Amino acid sequence: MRRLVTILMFLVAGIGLGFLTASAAVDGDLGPSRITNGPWRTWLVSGATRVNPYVRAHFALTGELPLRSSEVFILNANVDSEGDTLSGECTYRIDSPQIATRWWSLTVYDANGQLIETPARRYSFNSRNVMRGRNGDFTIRLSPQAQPGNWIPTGNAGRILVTLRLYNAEAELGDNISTAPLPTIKRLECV
Amino acid sequence: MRVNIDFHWVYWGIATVLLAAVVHLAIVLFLPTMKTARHIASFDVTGEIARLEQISARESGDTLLSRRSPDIAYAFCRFDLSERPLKISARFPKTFWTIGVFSDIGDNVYSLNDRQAGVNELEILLLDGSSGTDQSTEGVNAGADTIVVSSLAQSGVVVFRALVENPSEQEAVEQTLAASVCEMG
Repeated sequence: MRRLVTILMFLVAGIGLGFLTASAAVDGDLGPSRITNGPWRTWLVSGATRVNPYVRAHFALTGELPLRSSEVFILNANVDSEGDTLSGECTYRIDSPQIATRWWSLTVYDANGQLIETPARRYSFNSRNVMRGRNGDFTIRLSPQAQPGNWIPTGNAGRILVTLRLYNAEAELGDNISTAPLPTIKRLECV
Repeated sequence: MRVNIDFHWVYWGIATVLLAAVVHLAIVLFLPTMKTARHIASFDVTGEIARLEQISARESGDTLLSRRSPDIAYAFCRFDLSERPLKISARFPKTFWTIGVFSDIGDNVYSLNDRQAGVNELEILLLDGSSGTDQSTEGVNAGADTIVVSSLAQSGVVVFRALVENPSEQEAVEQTLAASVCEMG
């Protein structure tokens, strides 16, 4: 009986530890090739002959077919700049300096990776249609209520994810993606 | 001072770590096969190889190409090079675009964008190079300007992405992409 209990403990501990460490490496904070900059997280993607198995597993889990980082950086934020989880029931102010890239877009998804359907039918802003300040800087507000300026409605969607895509980033930005100035996300109020 | 070590627990401790390592590696290595390959296999409604399909950013869910960008128009075709090469006639709008070849487990084995190509209409011949030697092109009708790509993946999916600068241009961009053709060579 004692031996059976020991074997059961061994199986539970071994499988549990393996699952937890794999989960942390594939989708958590321990992933190699994972880069953090403020609230933003990204995974470096290289060509087929040098694909890190953890990167491959990460994108299998998220269901994406990512382009190489030399073409696009996909940065995701599910927390604000204070580290608090983003919620569709709150209003956020995203402030950004001019971004040194050929083209960028900022999109909001619900927790399932779906665009948030609202009567406004606005899901994103990009470098062509965002209203900017004199220096190329811009502010975008995420909120369930209508906001002045660049507003993306969040429709009380519960947890939300903000994705910033940087296409053909200039070398100055691409080579320093972990330290370069990126948009900040500040919570203003919650419903 | 004598320390008595219970080797019984040391044995089980080492065994637990080894089992955890096996489970960890199994999840990391088999996840792409279990999820990506299954998604690619069930990706298109017709189930046809080498047929161009268009997908909307607003339909993304728990499928491949999740979290699609609403500023990008997407099209794709599945390929299987085991018998014949794939001929791609790609048509893109005059904006940012990229074409990527992905293996069954999601590796980007080839990509090209508008800056690299310098043109918006191009022909690509995708050969099976997974065995180390390129597939024969005998009998394949390919022009002099055709880009010949030796693919490390024998099967997978080709994804076309083109930027939609304004929502009013969505239909025109999608129509341009729809003029692209995938066919077995």
